Amino acid sequence: MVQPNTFPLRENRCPEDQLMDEYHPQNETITVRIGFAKTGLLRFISHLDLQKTMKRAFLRADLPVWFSEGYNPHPKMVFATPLSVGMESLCEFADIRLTKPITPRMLKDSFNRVMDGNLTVWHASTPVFKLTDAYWSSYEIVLVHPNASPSLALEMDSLYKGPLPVVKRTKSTEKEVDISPFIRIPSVSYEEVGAIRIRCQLCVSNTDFLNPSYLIAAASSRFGLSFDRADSHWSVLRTDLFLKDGVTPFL
Amino acid sequence: MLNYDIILKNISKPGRYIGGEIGQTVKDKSSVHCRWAFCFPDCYEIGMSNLGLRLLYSSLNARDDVWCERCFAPWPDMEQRMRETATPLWALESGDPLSLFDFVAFSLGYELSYTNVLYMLELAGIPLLSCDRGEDDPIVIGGGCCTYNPEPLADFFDLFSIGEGEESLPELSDLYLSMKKDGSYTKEAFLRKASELGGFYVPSFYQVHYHPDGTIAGFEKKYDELPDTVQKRIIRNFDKAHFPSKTYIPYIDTVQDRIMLEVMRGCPRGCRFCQAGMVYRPVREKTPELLNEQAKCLYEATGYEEISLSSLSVSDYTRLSRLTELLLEWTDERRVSLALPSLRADTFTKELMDRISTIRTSTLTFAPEAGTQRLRDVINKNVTEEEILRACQVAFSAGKNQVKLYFMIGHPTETNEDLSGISELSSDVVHSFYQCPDRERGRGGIQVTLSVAAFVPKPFTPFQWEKQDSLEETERKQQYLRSVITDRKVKYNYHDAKVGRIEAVFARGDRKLGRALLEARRRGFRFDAWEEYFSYQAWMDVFRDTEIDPDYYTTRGFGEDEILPWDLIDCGITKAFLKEERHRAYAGLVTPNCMEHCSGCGAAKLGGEETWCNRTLSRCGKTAAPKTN
Repeated sequence: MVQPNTFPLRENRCPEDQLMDEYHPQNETITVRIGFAKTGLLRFISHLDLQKTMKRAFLRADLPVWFSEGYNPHPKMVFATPLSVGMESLCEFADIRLTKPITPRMLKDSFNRVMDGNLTVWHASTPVFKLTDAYWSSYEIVLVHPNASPSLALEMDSLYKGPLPVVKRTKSTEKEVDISPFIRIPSVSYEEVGAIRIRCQLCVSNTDFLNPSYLIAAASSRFGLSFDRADSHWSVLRTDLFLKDGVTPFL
Repeated sequence: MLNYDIILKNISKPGRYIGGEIGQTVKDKSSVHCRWAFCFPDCYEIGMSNLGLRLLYSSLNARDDVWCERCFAPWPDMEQRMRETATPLWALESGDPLSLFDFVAFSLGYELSYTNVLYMLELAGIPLLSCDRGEDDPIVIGGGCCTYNPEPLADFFDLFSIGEGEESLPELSDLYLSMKKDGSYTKEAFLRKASELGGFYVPSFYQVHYHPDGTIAGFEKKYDELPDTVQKRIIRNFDKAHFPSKTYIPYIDTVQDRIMLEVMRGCPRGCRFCQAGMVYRPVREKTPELLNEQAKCLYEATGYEEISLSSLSVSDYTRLSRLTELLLEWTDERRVSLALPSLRADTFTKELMDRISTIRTSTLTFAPEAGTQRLRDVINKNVTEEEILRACQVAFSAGKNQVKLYFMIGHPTETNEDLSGISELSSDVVHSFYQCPDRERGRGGIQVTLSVAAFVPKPFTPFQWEKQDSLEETERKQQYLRSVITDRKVKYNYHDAKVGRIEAVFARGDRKLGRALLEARRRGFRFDAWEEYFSYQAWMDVFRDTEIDPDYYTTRGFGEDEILPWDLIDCGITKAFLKEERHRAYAGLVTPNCMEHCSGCGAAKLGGEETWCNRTLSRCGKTAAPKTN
């Protein structure tokens, strides 16, 4: 698995030592966007637990976090994209409100000092785009299965490139949807150790979010691959986040 | 090496099994010569909330050559996965199987977790019976409040740590290391030496003889040098007790996910049903300045938003006012709230209320324990109805509209009138809300929640000899109480009487119960503390098939002259004191708390500083500090 600290993360466009000091006119707070990686064993903690972990890390780091007013004061944090339990990501974004200006370097250094490398902030800036502008996310999905072969990889490649009807379930409904419009530039390759690697971009917009598990499920039902056994497993790594054009990095 | 992608696939709450929390201790295996796996026989969320585990984890890890790791009972879905993949139970920090450890330690806090002890040993591939374990198997040790009567577990444990372990467990590690080093180590030799350290009980060194009627005829020591009774260990100067400045912070939600600041140990009150109130004597306090430093230190290390002042009876902490003053100097601005569990109605004041109500306060809880003054005198609760109502008024004036009241049914001498008293007292609380001029208006008025437990006689209490009500009688009382509670603002919750009966069997059990536990494991029992896995009928079947009569331990009652299974243990309190207290209970006489008058319980012989026990103080040439609250 790719390590977060060695992965060539995108270049930070904001100067490291320039104060982030754009005050929100109404409530005198500063909104800061952070980019972070959630990797390793932290892939097994839920979104809610992640929020709590982030909040405590901010407090341990003694960063000037703004607290909401009211009965239960808490720091305000908004995340760009959800991430399922079990999946890793190098590229998560969240907005947090601060009470006074600090530099990206201060924020990153203070935060990373109180975490252990499985949750690493690599970017901080004044928000460039709206959180809802995040549209495509790139993934690396690895399937480890004894049936993995170069020909299977080829078949999977064409599976993801054609129309792909799957049954999408929500809490109340269940319907068949063609998910191919929500998949961009898929490519499937065979790795030597009985593993198949899928690279693609999937839609993360509010309305058309496509969970990578649908791609895994589609492959397992089409090719009869069961991952519910001791010699097989999958892993998912989110690697980057883009705007609707699929090219402009989200910031 | 564990493959988490495989082992955690489709497992509920995988965060329970990953370890890796900020604040955990990881050491280089090659520089460590004594490894402890500290096991908590319940799931992660419960075990991670346990203060004892935190303290002992930290005091063992304070040494470079000792490494203590954690292990919790895997939930049944994980059990199935482990069996499918032949994965033995592992410790969270290293991922190493438990069988590789020098010590496998269990924290024993609840009788119904005994089945989980055997469950975890089995999942670890460690032989259950101590006599089946060889020189290369880990040493299985138990500690915690259940070890004041460890006898039902005698067959499974190599030794028990009696009393407070912050000093004794590192001493035990020292002994182990030195015997390994000089080559004198054998399990038998080590256990013999360990029993000389004080506070360690090796059950296999004592043979129990029985009368034909099943009662105990006597104990026979294997070696002459062994003590006749094993005296518990205490930390004499509580200020100097090991303090975990660095502590693990769980990623997933746990039951007690906050800073637990232990302000004192022991309770000066002497409620006659309460085991903790007896076995943790003498009372020892920490100084407010030190506690404030420790709280700051923990806040900086964790980022928790709540500090819970913990002790058996926090409002009896003599310098509470000073402590809250110091804490509020920095907690308010950081949005850290103070929580004071275990408040006593008689010492709950407006001043205290103001201090805890600044940020995020929740429901207030009081424990009258019995419905009438007569019965409260029998149990020595020493709280009057006026005090309870006054305390509620304070809470209502501060805007609270939820009160939780704890009661227990099945106390000795209880009648229907006492049960009706529970209902009347709750209605009086409701009534007092509507009489309070500053009450919170709107929001649906008042909610009084009753939590009614069934009395379980526990060792080392004045009620240790008492009969437990039969299952039918407890259920009748529960239904009777339901029938007399008519106030719609009162919500009535009660505990399953069947659980209380099994708890009572093991609380006062003897070694004969070992065979029932073994059979229960054979039948797959685990998580008996959880309603969904507890089956009363299954337990009755086990008792029938192992020729155990549960009535013998419950409804029979124990004779005052009978040798008790836990007579091998010395918790400081004398049997004469317990007997006298029992007789006073039947005479309806209350006994003043330690702050007012010494009743000569016997715990003073253990020593202790910063304490309310005048006898202890006079032994070290001091007088009690003036009470400032």
